[in-house]
Amino acid sequence: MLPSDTLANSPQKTAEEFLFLADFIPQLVWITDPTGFHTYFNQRWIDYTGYTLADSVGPDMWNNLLHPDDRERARKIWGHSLATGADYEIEYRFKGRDGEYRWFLGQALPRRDEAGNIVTWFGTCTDIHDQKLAADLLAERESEFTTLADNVAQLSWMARPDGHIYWYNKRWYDYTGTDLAKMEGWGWDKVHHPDHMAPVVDFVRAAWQKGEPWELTFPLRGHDGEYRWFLTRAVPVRDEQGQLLRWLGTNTDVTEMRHLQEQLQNSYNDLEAKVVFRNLELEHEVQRLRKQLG
Amino acid sequence: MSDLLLDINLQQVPDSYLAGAWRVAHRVVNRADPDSPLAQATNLVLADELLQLQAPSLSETGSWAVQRDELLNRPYLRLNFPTEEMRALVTRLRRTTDGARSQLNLYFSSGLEMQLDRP
Repeated sequence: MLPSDTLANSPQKTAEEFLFLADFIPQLVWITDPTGFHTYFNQRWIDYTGYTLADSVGPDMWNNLLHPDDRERARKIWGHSLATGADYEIEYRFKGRDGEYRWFLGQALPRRDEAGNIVTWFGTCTDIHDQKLAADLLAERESEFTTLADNVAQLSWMARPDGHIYWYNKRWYDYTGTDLAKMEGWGWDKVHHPDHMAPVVDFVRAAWQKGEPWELTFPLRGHDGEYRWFLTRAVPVRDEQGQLLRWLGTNTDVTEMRHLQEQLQNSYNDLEAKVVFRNLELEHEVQRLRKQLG
Repeated sequence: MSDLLLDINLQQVPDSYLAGAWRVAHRVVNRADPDSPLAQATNLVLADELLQLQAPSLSETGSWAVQRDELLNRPYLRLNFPTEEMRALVTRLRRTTDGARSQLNLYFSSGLEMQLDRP
């Protein structure tokens, strides 16, 4: 038996501790030689996949383990790392012994000797299934939101609590002929009519600070240089504590409605003037007849 | 120069804006006599005090004047022809900023409505 201080630093102790650690961490751990031939799997690997080191010889284990859609990509990336020594990283699906696939993040680093030659590849597979599904769901939601936001009839935008606009929908860019680089922050003043600029700025500056829903109608210049009137509505979005997170805004084209309102008002004014005019004509006629009789 | 026709405020319209050689672009006869010279007119010339009406089969000369009444918030025209006198309310006047083009809408007490264009 070795003395305890000798045992503490012995290769045997180190190996035992490595094995303990490798089995303890929540990842699947594997080691290969420089050619990619597996020399070690931790217990979690064996427990999850059902494959031992002996099973790893030949293509069967990998063909059974990897999702068919991931096999070719995994083979290419791993082949590239083996050929170049580049760090290995990939997201792929492994089939567990229960037959269900789960997403893993595979990572591996080469260990080199003093001459720089690769001696061993140390790899881990981290279960990212839940995060991956959540990210996919989030991406799907984002795609749906973008589709919706780009296809509503209005121009729309989002702003920080202080009014710094950081997003516009596609209709905004299509109408104004601008892009985010020109519009971000306070760039919207570039498409405002100079005659209406000052009151709009005064109004929104006060509105950002109040933090309450607001609406205002003003003209915006289109990519053709023509101005059209838009009803702008903004609502604040708050968290559970009531803290203002962002503003959601829409600009609805009300040009036709304003024209119709003007036409209606003009028609009413015309009608009123015509009635007065006809009454005056009658009055003139009455006076003429009185003269004739008198 | 913009070719856009802009509405002129009829409460402040100068008389000179109403003068000129007008072409009848559109008319609504309503209950007026469709055979009357005015309903047949193709051109109206309002020059100084001289009024000329041109129709396909006749031509008449008279005088005209711009009149205003405090009850009306717009001017009206008094048109004197050899056989009759009539009044026409100015319901709309549009002009380009340089005055090169104008559009004048008139309403006669007979019910006749005209849109005159210049040139």
